[in-house]
Amino acid sequence: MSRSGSSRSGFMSARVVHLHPSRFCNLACQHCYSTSGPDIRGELTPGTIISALTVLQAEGYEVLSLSGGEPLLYSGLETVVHGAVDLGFHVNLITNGAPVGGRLLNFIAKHVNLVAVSLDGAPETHNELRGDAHAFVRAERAMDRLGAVGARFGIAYCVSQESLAGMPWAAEFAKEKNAALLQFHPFAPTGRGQRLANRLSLHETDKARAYFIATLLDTGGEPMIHLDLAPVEVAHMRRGDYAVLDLKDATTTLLSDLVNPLIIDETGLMVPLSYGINQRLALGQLGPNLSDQIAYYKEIGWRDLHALIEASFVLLGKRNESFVDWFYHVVETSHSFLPHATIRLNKESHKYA
Amino acid sequence: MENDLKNVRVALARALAERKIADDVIDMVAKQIATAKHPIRGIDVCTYGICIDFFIDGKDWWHTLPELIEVEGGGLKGIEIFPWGIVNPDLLHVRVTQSLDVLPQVRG
Repeated sequence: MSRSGSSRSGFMSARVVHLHPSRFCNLACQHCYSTSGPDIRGELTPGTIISALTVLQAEGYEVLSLSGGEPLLYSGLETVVHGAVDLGFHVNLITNGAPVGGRLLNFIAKHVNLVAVSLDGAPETHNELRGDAHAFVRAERAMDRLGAVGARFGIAYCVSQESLAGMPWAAEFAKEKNAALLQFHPFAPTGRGQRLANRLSLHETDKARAYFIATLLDTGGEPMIHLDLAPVEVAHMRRGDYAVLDLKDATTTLLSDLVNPLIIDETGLMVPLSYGINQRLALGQLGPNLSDQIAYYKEIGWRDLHALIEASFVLLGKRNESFVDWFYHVVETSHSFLPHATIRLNKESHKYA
Repeated sequence: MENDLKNVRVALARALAERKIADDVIDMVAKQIATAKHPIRGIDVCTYGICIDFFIDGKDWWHTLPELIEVEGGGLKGIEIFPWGIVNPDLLHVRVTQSLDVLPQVRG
């Protein structure tokens, strides 16, 4: 149970801030959901981030999950991680593995709770999608190095039409590398990935295949296997996990009760639930008036999120699908959904201009 | 015995991944799972094919049972009902077993 007294805030077991401090990356993957790459500049300053985390910690958030871009190439990484740990956050990050080495390795082992190394399939598929013939070797080397210093790591495996066949291989590989976790995540056609939607998106039968494969591969013990797909009926049955949104007044509620996870992009824009969600649902922008923006969100903005969750559950019943990637489903719903409070928010936007 | 079962699970996972199991078999089981009115707590491989585990409230089990065994085109092979026990006497573990024609090939 969290400090707020509510046992759940949505489908996640912890209250998480997903931070994308920059979109700078050594790779420009063909399917990157955040359209990151070596030519992308611009990043949040560590000072801005730590000030925000101080406010967000008081709002009940407990995990900082760093993504990007490649978070290990973010210039303020060590300052932000130290600041977050001092505030009591557990810090996780997701990396392509290339920068894992040198003094960074000991820093990770000491301060980072879980490192997820991303894979897009067996070696050939991975290298092809990453546009780098050495991408897999570097990811594997990162796992070996993390293992050697006792850092806890997992594998985040993107399941697409092309990588589905490699799921059993991934389970064997994760076991061989002593990974603590193997997370299967269905390909989501957002960002640069939109261009590959036809080639990579899972069809309904393939979603079912992925579900059965993950279930069969999970034979207990490590690596723990997790798939970001649930039977539609199971999602419906867990509607109660969002019960905290059935409020009349949220002014005294913790933000982490309302919004979980909270996403912050490299411009400081805060959005609920998932990267790529309709920005009309944004909470605001990191900056000196963050507390005022959160107060305003609790007064008005959260009602849009409540309406979006309601709409997502309604649409879930109408789609002829057996399995759902919930957060992508919410992103899709958000783009065909006009938030009521947006109109009010725009009218009053001068408050935070 | 435990290792045998693990091997069969992995072999079945490989057969699924390599698309050796036809789409219509997948769709049939997927439909059953997606429309289940009770939480599914596990899917496993067993003698006849696959078995699906549910936990249901013991007070309503008599009404619930017909919904659990409604296996469209799936060849129902067995139902086992276990009381959960002293920790939660009202909870029943129901295991529904159905045939899966491809399993003998997977076992090799």
